[in-house]
Amino acid sequence: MEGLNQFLFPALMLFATGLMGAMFKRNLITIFMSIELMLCGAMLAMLAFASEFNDMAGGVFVFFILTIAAAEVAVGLAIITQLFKVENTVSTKGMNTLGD
Amino acid sequence: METFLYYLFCAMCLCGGLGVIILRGYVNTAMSMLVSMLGVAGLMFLMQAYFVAILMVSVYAGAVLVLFIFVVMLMGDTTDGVNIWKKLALLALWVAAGCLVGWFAPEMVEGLRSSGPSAGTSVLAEAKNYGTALFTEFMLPFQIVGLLLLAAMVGVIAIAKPFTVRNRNNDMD
Amino acid sequence: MEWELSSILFAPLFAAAVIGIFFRKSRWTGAFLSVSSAAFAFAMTMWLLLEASVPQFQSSFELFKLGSFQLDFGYLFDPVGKNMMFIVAFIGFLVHVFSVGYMKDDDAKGRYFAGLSFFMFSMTGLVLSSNLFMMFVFWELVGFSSYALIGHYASTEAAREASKKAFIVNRVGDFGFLLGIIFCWNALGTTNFVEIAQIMKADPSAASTGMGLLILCGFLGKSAQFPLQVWLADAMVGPTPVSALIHAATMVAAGVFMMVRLTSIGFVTPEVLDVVFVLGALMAFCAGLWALGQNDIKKILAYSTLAHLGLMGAACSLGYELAMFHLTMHAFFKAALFLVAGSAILACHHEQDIYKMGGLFKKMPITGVTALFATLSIMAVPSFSGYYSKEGIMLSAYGRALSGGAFDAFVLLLLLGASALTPLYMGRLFFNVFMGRPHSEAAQHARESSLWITLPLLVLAVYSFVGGFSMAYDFKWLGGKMDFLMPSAATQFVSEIWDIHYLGLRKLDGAHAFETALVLVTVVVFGFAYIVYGGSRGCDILQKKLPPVYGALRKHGWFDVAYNWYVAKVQQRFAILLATFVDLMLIELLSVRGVGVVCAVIGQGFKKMHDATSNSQVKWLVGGVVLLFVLIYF
Repeated sequence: MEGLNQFLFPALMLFATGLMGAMFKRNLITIFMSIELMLCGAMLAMLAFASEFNDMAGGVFVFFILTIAAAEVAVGLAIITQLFKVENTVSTKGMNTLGD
Repeated sequence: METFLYYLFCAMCLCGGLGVIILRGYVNTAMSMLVSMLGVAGLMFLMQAYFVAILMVSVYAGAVLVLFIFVVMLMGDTTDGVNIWKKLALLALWVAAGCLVGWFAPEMVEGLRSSGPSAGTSVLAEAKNYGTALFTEFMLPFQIVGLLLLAAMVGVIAIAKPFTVRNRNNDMD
Repeated sequence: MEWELSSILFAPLFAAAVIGIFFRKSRWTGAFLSVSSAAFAFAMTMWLLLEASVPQFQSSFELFKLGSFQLDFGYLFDPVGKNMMFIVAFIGFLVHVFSVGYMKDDDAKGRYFAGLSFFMFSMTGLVLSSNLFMMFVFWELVGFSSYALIGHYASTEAAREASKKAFIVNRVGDFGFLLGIIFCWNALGTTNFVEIAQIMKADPSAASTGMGLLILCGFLGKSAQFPLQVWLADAMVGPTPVSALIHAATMVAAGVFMMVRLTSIGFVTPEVLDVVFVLGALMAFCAGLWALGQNDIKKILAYSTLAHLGLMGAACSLGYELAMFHLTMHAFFKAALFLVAGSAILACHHEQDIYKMGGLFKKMPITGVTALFATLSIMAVPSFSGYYSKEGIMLSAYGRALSGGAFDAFVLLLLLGASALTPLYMGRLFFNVFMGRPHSEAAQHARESSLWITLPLLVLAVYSFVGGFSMAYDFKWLGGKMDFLMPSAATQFVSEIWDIHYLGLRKLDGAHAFETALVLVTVVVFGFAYIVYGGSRGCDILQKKLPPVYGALRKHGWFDVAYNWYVAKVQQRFAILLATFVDLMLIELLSVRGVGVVCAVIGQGFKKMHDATSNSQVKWLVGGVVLLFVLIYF
């Protein structure tokens, strides 16, 4: 494999794996972790392009993604904690009160 | 050498990812995610983005995953205890890993000695570049992300307040 | 000229409006207004006719324009129109005066006179209109006035039913009429009579039979010919002056007037004229028979009107001035007869059966004399007015049969039968009402009616006598000073052609013998009527001796039975089908509510998709992104 595709391939696979988890798993924690996986995949892809075209923007953006991922995990886990206190479960099976 | 490392890290991150969604039990999934992160970090090493790789390990694997484990501990693990077969399997894995390392050790050492990390042919290698870019070209996003972190922190504190009936009434006010 | 015509047209309308708004409950104010408007219209008409400087006046005012379609409001005051206008204004005025006496005891005088004035307005508009569309508008207005006036005694079921029937049957004919007008406008590009005349003169083949037949439908409806004659007999439930004015002299004659006008400009093809010829003759004959089966004096006169309208229709085909001539004569003597009937009915306390009256000649001499004159006129006794017109028609038919084929001979036979039946039923009426002895309490105490009633009767009696040769020969009495009796401007339409036509007719083989034979037949049948019906028996001899025949005649051709069956069985069911199945189910349920149901179902479907679990949200997100990519790159 050549340089770019070489690193894009794992990025894509990671992202796809995370997407499958987010779409089809019932456990909130698992879904959350899958979202983190997706972010990892995105980061890898950014870096791949950055290293290929020797552009700084990719790297800096990875920086930002990292930051945001951290913040997001914090907020998300706080929500999940509270949700667990109320519902006593982390399964998404009955959790559709946001809809109708 | 690089090819080998590439395949190794690829395998790590992919298998780790699969493990997240396949395995049962929160701790298992968390560990599997750790493996995946390490793999990603390795891939970043290969791309000569050393700074980001280190950041990855320390922030992601270190902070985020730890947070995950904390929360999982709060919820309680639902898997059954580790039985004898799992212990044995784990032991076997460690042994296998040791053997692998031992076999390839001479090549790895030699490879490490001969083709050291190239002194930053890519612009991503130098940490200095990140600093420059952050404070010049990407100043605005930098500041906004800072603001976002503040908002996140405040939000987390607001959400994570003890959830009692009295508190809820207070919140409604 | 235009101002005068507008004043004739709008004075009655103004009176009708004022009465309708302010004086509906009045006792005499409404009548006064109405009669004065009629008097004014009559005076203005006479003035226009007497000082007539132009033979034809036309004017046009564009009402609105829609693309290439243009609706004009215009006047056409040509010889035909002048003739008709004279009839309308003159007889209208006389009937107004008569109504004052007749409706003395009525409670709804205001309503009646408003309706009568409105009728004058509509009829004048019909006569004066310059194009077919305007004529159609006034045609409908006249139909509406008829509806309003027939239903004057609205408290009786019969009146309500009859007025509805009149309007609806008329409407059926008007539908064909409107189609014909649209056809005409489409084919010729104009409906203005003057323009049509020019087109026809330039290119006679521009007239089409289809157009003529459709317009004929209007004539059939308005003048109550086959198959739309069922409304006229029932229309007799209206007040007698209304019957005299509308259903004898003017409105039903409007159909004939329209046919004459269109024939004179060449609009009607010979095929259509043939149809009218046979239909009219058929009606003349059958109505005469049916008149023998009626006991009500007004119904007898109604069937007589039907017969004479048929005669006029046939005359259209023989020569349009003959039709106009007979129209005028018929207006005089038929109005006279109806007013006589009104006077008799009033005197006998609203008794209408001829077998309950009797011996009225001695008690009501003026009415009796008028009745005698009018009867002699309608039977076409020589030197009375009816004689000239009838003679012209019969001679023309005879001439046509001589040179024509079996068809013409057949029609001639029908016409002969019709003219033989006239003395029969008129004699029956006259002898039982005016001769013999009274057969009811009321008839015994009858006295002559008031002056309001008898003056119009006298006037019409005179005209029934002298109208004929005054019209035919344009008699310039006393060096033209007596022209005001019947202005030459009004008679010009007939008299111009009559001279030439009549001279030609006299030259036919056996014309003289034919005429003499006709007169003889009339006299003989009248005598026969005296023998059969004149015994003052107080009941109908045919009813007594031959009940089935009488019953058949009374049923007047089972038309009513057929129509009622059709309405009840076919039309009503179809209407219900439309209302419930088509309207309710197809349109309302399926389309209107169905759309709502479909929307609701789609909404529910979307609601189900609105699963708020995080899984589904991610799925939707992915789906949206994929769609976006697809849209961007393909």
